[in-house]
Amino acid sequence: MANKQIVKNFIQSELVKDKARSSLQDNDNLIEAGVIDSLGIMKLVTYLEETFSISISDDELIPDNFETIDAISAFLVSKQQ
Amino acid sequence: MDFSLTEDQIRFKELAVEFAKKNLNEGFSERERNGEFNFEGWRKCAQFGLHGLPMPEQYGGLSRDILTCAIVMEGLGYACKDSGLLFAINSTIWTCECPILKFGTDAQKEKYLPGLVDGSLIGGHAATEAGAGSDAFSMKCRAEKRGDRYILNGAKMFITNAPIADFLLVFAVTNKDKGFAGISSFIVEKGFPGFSVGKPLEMMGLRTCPLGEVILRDCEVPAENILGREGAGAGIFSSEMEQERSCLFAMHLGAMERELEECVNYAKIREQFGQPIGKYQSVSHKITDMRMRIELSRLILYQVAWMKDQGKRAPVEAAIAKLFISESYLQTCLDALQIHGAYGYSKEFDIERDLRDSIAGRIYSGTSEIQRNLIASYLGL
Repeated sequence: MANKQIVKNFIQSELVKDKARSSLQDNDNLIEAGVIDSLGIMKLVTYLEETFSISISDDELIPDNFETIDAISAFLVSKQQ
Repeated sequence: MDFSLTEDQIRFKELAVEFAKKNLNEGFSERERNGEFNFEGWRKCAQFGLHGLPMPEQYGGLSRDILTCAIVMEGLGYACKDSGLLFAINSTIWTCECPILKFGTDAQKEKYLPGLVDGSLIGGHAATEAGAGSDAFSMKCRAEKRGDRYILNGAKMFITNAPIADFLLVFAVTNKDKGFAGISSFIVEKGFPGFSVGKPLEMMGLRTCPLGEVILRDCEVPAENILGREGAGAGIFSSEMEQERSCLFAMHLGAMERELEECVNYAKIREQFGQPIGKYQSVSHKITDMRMRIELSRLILYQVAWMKDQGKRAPVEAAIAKLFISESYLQTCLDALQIHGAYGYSKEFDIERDLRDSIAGRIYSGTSEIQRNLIASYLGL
């Protein structure tokens, strides 16, 4: 399964509180929509580190890297290179 | 699994106990009554090496691992009655030194860490506001970039060390549309234009630790004083909190050990109705529970310290440690006071002060309720 889909599945199942919400789009602003909050981002980071065997510094928890699913995927690629 | 401490850890703890008994308790009762900070004690602790325990030798530190730091702080908590002084030191280490070490530029590390380590600089951490306590990221303090500096406006409340700090790590909103992701962190020196501190706040406990309000009125901060990147403030704050929850409460563990000793001694000596009160189960069971809380507190504290030394994230474990140890300390103090009766309630003994100090532990570093929320969230609730 592509990394992007893995990330999307995790966010949909673990972070989206409104389960009636329709599927996330790759360019949805997850922070403004309240999908990712200050606690959720830590859970996401832990999941990414464990699933993809990468290390994420706490000062990389910035909107550029986590605002959308596209941004998260791009960030993942940069960490895996 | 090997639970034994190394020779170095055992010896360092013994040295910390000796140091504290010899240097930190004289005149404390009066300082506590008057709410005075022990500047001489601060300097002596720095000379002993406390401030630089986890810091690299490059900056004058002792490069000790987190577990060793926790063990030393446990010794200090046991031997030093001045919880306010220990709180001020721990706050400086975990929420000021460590973030600068982890997220700072080389220039920032060179400028601030040596002074923090040798005690010549006093630092602090300013996130809380009058309207943003548990909901820390709802802060209103703003930072606007103008040319080569940031202009900060807002006020921070209940800031540890503020009245005596040379600089503070101040958290402010740089992009209000991004919520928690729009917060940044700045190293703000007391001499920067627009920075001021209100009069020290008088609190119920930890009275020897200065606490105050910080006012930022068009406060000019050089752009190079941002810590980490714009928008990284929440990540830095969360990192600090996990560190603080992992380590600061070691001093509570030491204090509980002291309380246990005093209660055992008292229960053996104090006689009522013809026998030592320790023979009554109502007393011995309380003391037994103290011992149980100490052992469990030590286990979780050491586990979290070990995890941090392995470079592991430990948000849940740190929350459990903070919650359990702080609540245990409070309960231990309540039981110690009850065992000592009216003497415990009297200001002639130390127990009532320990109790007043312990109550704050349920509030700072995130309240007990916030810790429970965090744990519940990780359980998927």
